[in-house]
Amino acid sequence: MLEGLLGLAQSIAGFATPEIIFYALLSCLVGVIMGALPGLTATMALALMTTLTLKLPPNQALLILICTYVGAIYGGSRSAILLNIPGTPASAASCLDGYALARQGLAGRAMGIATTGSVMGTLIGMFFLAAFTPVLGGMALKFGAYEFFWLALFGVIIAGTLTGNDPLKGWIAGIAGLFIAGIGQEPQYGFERFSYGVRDLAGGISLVPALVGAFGFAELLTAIRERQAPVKISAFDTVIPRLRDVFQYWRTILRSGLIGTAVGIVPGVGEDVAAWSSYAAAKRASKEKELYGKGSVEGLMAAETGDNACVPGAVIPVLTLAIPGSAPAAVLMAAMIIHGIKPGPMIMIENPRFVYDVVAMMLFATIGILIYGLVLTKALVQVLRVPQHVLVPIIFVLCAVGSFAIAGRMFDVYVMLVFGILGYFLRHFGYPMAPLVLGIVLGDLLEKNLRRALILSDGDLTPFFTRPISAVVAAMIFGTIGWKLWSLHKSRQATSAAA
Amino acid sequence: MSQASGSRTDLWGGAAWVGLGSAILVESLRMDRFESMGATVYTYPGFVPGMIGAVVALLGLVLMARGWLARAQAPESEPVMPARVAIALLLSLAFCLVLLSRAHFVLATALFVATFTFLFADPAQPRARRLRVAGLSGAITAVVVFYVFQEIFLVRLP
Repeated sequence: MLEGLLGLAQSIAGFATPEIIFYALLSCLVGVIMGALPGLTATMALALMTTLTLKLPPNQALLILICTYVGAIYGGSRSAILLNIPGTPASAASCLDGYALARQGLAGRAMGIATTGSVMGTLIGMFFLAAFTPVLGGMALKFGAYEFFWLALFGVIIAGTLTGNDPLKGWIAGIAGLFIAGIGQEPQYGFERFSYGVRDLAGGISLVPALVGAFGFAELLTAIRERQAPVKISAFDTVIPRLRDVFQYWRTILRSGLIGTAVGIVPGVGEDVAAWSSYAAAKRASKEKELYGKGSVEGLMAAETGDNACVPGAVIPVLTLAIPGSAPAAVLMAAMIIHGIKPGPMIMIENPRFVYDVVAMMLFATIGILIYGLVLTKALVQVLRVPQHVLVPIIFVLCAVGSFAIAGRMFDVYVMLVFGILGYFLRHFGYPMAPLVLGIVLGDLLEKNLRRALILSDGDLTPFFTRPISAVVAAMIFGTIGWKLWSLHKSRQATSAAA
Repeated sequence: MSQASGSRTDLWGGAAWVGLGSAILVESLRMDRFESMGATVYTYPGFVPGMIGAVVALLGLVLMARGWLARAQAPESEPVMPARVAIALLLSLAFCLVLLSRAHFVLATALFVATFTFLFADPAQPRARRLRVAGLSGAITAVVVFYVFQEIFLVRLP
């Protein structure tokens, strides 16, 4: 433990230079602004910042991305409270009580609570990131091909189950993502699959342009469907958080931090599920249940703590298993790989200092959102007045530029366009994007490990179900599918009975 | 989306997934087996995509079955691509496929942003104001993006 503390202290000291602090504050600000603007997501913010930071040294680039990530998840609470429109999906739960508080003339207090919850959530998540990553990394060294195959499949299935309203469509999206990952040269014989002579496709579909398309361009097309109504921002006075709220709701903060971190660790699920799960748990345990949805301080605190705790939680499986805990974490993982950092079980052996560097980056991001939450709220809120029709083309230009910047080829811009159009239609017909993206990320891991496992066992499927960790993960997959089918069957029966 | 239109799209969507999954499976089976290089059934290139294609087709069948079982009279449903989205898409395609390859980045960006902003501005606003906002927005975006990406962060632009 002492070694870990020493490592963390060294990392913090290493980052405490004026240049790094400037980057941290600037990227936090960009994250908060992009998170606050409805229609722009944390994933989009991260994808765009990834391209901007390509030429920077790895630690600086990742600091910028982590600060943007934390800032974006926090920033969504601004528009949720003031406009009743979530800035990011993670802030949807904050709309319920945040906006209700604003309508009671308590918008400033609501924003103070959101700042408190976000800071506390990130700190709790950070603690588990520092404590669990070395432990999970050590366990992951025992994972073999069979375990990684099941883990990759679990990520796709759980993302499809828990995101969106329709698990069947979520599973289809996830499996389609696995197919997209297989386009291009396959790893063993270099055979070009599904490229049909298109040279650029031989290298496969690059992740960042696909993400920018699915989460950026598709989101912009969805946002522009309706003309934006004139923005009416609720007035507010002081936004300074009250320490009394922290002491009064310490159980809620701790519970929501734990839930948020745990949800973050589950592959592909993300901050919106963390926020809703924390909110629901807080309501169940609350002595003030009747206030929920009508301006509950505790409810808002739970939602904001949960969604921000999910950020460090989502980074834990990235570092230890190379499996992202959320869509923004998938972009973060892609950025790590672009900058030559290899996430996965070997990280604690090859680059243990990096884990503490990430914790230090989270700390700087937390300080950043605290500063902006205390000092710059009134100025930041003016950004919400920028009309959507001015913002959309600007963001689209950034999407095009960002996609091009990865490899300097127009093909990636075309990939962005295709995924944007595909994402728009899939979203319209009820298919969630997160499983699709997770499928693209995990496809290579799944295929390599499946082939390796079958070669090792000479086609025998028994080890897939008899090795202890494999058996547990396989049981979780089949249990998840069975549970979901059962609950759908029950709800259909209840609907028929009511009719 | 209404239940009826949802069940209709499930039916057609499921059929599309069955088609796609079947095509993936057929293409995978046609791939070279590399037997002369000692490949086994688990290592040949089409093995995993073939399985994925089969699963997609199967899930598509389930979706079709669900859509068929839930079919009902079809009330109005919201359009897939209203005019605003179609225009935004056309402008975006024109920017990426035409403007960027024929004009300097700054000019292409300024034109695209200005046109988009003008077309989507509130028509109740005076035309002169809409033109002014569009022009300013286009010019500032083009110059700032060019300078920040290319000169400060040394990132290549299209």
